[in-house]
Amino acid sequence: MMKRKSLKKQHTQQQRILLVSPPVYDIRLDWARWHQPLGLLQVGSLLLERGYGVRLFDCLQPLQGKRVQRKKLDSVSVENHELARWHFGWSWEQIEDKIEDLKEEKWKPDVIYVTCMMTFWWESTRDLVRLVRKRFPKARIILGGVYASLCPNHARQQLRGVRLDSTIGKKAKTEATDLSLYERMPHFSGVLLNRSRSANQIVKEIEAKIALGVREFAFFDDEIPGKNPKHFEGVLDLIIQKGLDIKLRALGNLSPKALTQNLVIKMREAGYRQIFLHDDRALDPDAKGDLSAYERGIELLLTHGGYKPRTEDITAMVLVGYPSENLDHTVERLTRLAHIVGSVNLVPFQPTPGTDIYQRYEKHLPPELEKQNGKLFPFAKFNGASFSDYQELTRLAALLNSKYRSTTFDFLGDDQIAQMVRYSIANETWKPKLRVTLPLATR
Amino acid sequence: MIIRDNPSQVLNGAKSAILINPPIYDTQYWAYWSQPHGLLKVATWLRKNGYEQLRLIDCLATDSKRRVRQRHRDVVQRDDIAKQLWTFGMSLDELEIRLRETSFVPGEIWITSIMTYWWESTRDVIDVVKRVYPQNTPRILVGGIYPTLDPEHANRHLGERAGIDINVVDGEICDDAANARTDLSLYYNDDLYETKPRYALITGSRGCRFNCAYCAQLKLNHENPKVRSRSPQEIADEIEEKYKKYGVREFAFYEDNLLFNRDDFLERLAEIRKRGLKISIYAPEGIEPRLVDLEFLNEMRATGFRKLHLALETIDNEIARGWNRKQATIEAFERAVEVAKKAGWAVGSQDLNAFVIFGLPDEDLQVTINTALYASQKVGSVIPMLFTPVPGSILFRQHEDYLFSPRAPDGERWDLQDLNGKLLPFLEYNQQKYPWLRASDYLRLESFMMHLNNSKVRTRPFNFASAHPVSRVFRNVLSDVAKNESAPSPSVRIDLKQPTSSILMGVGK
Ligand code: B12
Ligand code: SF4
Repeated sequence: MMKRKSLKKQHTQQQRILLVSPPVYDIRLDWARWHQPLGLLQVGSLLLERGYGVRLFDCLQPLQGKRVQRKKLDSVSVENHELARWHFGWSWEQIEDKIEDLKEEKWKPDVIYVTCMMTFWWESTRDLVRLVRKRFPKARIILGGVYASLCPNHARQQLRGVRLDSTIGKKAKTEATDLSLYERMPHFSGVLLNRSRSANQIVKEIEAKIALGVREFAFFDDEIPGKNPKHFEGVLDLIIQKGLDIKLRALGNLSPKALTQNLVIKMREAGYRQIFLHDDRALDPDAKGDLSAYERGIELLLTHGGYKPRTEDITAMVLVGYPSENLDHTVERLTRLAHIVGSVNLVPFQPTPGTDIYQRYEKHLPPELEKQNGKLFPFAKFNGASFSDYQELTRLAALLNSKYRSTTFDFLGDDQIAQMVRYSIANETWKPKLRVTLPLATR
Repeated sequence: MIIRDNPSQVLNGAKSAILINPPIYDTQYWAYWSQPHGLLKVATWLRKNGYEQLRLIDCLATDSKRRVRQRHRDVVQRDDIAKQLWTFGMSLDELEIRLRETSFVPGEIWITSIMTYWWESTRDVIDVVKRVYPQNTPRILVGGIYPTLDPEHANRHLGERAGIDINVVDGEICDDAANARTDLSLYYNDDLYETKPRYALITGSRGCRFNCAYCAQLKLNHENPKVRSRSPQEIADEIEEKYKKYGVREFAFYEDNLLFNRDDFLERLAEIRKRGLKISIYAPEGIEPRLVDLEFLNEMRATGFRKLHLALETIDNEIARGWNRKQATIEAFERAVEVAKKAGWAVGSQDLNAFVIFGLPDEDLQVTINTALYASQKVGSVIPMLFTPVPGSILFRQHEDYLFSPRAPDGERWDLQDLNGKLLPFLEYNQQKYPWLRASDYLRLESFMMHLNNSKVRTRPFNFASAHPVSRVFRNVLSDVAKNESAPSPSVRIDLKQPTSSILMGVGK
């Protein structure tokens, strides 16, 4: 009966659909400038094609300026640390205002699609659902995204009255996103490389976005080039051939192993400005940390790509906090990678329900999804370490990655200054020769 | 003409003046605590002496973020690095407009001039003055640090191009001028300044009993080593006046040796506290660790000091002695840090800072690095100070021969503008000791010190020396590599009898 009713409605009036990517509660928002709810936008494209009226609330898209806004929410305690937790993105008042705007237009959604991209972000999704349900009691609310597909039971329990829908996501898998849904054009666009689309289709999508004023792009696939490097090269060739004036970034998904001279030259020419290298260890944390692929890759990027050494051009992502990690090895790997690559960023290992490794180590995790947040290093104890140890590691990474005049310091460098630094640390010559230890003068 | 210790020669009956703080040419400029406070004191003194019309044109006035405009000027190639040279502040063209729009024709133009290596912009300002007033050019007086440190140079060069005689005032004119309060009304009553100053600089004392080899304080104070202080009441009055009249809440003490007259300083703090003002006080020039004690620091904190800058410079007492700094020992520094911690200053908070000097002739680079590492783990924040040879200081005199010798490849000689620490004037000199040393190594050394400060995560930076496993493994990785390296720093002593000119002509590219 429902079905007939809605069909009937479609005849009389176009169905209205509101897409929402909620704000986020977290202690930190990594990659803050590079979030885009790609899946939700693809669903949007599909719905638009089908003739629905579609609106979008992307709460992580800044309403003004370039930065994602944040406000202190509460704190989480880990061991004896109190960590501030923030509400990132639009505030509830701002969302209410946006809803008010819709109401003024007399635009009421029949269906609301809500995405949740991380399992450990479910709480803000719950709060968002509560809010839209209150404001649009008649609308159907459909939850999609990573959280819904990986933790459906949790979602059903916590977000009552919400439907889960995985079919529309699958149908939209090869859609190009439609950025015209944004009131304020985002500064960049995520694009998918490996979803059975031809190089031509991908570059067409990029061109369409250039026409909207977007100049920066990043492929959002888990891994690039992935299994078919020829496809990636084909896309780059086409970008070069068409002379598209764009900036590309590899956001931590480019494997150093994949780099060849040919590919590096093409990447540079196509517009790759900044490269965050994937930590291949993420695929197999047990693997021995062989760094030769980095050495080769960096050599290629510097000599054939013209990337500047030790700057923000190239950064190695370094996976930390995975189960059964040996922290000593990680410190050594981090230090050596900082020498080879120039810049290093830590990526906390994120346990993801449904993966093998998750199943294997689930018993060592706290049961609450929000506490499985990788940034809280939930495997610390299991690894015989503590959250403080990981903080110390973060400090070391900050030192190794610190930029002054845009470059990092090479602690393992061949130059004399680095040698003197090592000499001082190895021989403790930095400890002054104190003649007498004077008692504390407290006159 | 050079005027020294003769206020009656300075004043000759004029009733109006424009006061100018020139723009500057440099590779870097830190505008945060820079007000032409000498000139602002002079303004107060002039009013007392019957001047009726005064206008200040502060070419380095800052915006609301306390920053100053900069425009690219030139590129200076130093060895293997290229340094960008900028004009900071108002352009000369704008200065010309401002002079022309001024509603009165001044009887005099008073120009302040600070760093000796900035002297060229003072000359250029004089050219502008001449252009604006080609006939009946007002009498021009130049004073400040540069004219005091090198009055002959100023007298020879400043008016040369404009073809006018100027009055170079060597020193502080007189005690009355030196002890005057700064006149901030010049900003408040002039539309030229969209942003009015929110802070004030206070000089409470001048002079210092020591004579460190790199410091020009003795020459600045006309060889008088006595510490002369303004009365605590008067200083507190000045602070209170600025607080009430202009809403100033931040004050910085700029003095040669702030803590030297202990009782006087304590009395000053007590007097300020008596006024019950909510203010913050800074001493960005640094304080002498030897004089620090718990009572001092407790009082300072209670009066509004938030940041502490300690002059460390080197951890090697021998080297300190070589710089005529017997008073500054590492033991005294250690003790000062312990006391600071007791008084509530947290290591790594950036409220506690240590200066480390480098770029000096004959320096031991290994000791510089040792000092930086020590400072980083001891106080958590290292402030690298590139050495500048200051005319009038011991080191300047010792090395004058080297500094002004003909240089490769064309035999040209340096002038004061080349003796800016940021241009590494002792690079070629130190290459005698370290043949591998390049300009880029100095950049690397400076960056290294800055990096040490940059690792702060949740209230504290990385401590390379701690017992924590992360530190230990990091040290091990570095030590492993160091094991196979020979001890660096081949300490070849320089043969001082060798004529310096041959050093310079020998190492040209
Ligand atoms: C404040 C200060 C700073 C501040 C601000 C500087 C700035 N941007 O303006 C900071 C902390 C940033 C700083 C940094 C440095 N400084 Co500094 N600093 C000083 C200090 C303490 C006061 C300078 C000042 O502004 N005085 C204002 C003067 C003009 O006021 P006054 O003397 O009370 O004024 C009287 C007279 O001069 C006269 N007068 C003033 N103007 C006029 C005008 C006329 C027309 C007349 C007639 C009279 C007159 O009358 C006044 C009343 O009696 C002096 C030391 C000192 N004791 O003065 C060192 C000093 C100027 N600094 C010095 C040095 C070495 C440095 C650094 C190079 C240190 C380093 N290695 O990094 C850096 C360089 C900074 C840069 N950007 O290049 C040297 C000089 C260097 C040189 N070659 O000229 C000095 C002299 C220190 C010393 N004792 O050796 N410094
Ligand atoms: S550096 Fe400080 S202690 Fe040394 S002479 Fe100058 S003012 Fe005095």
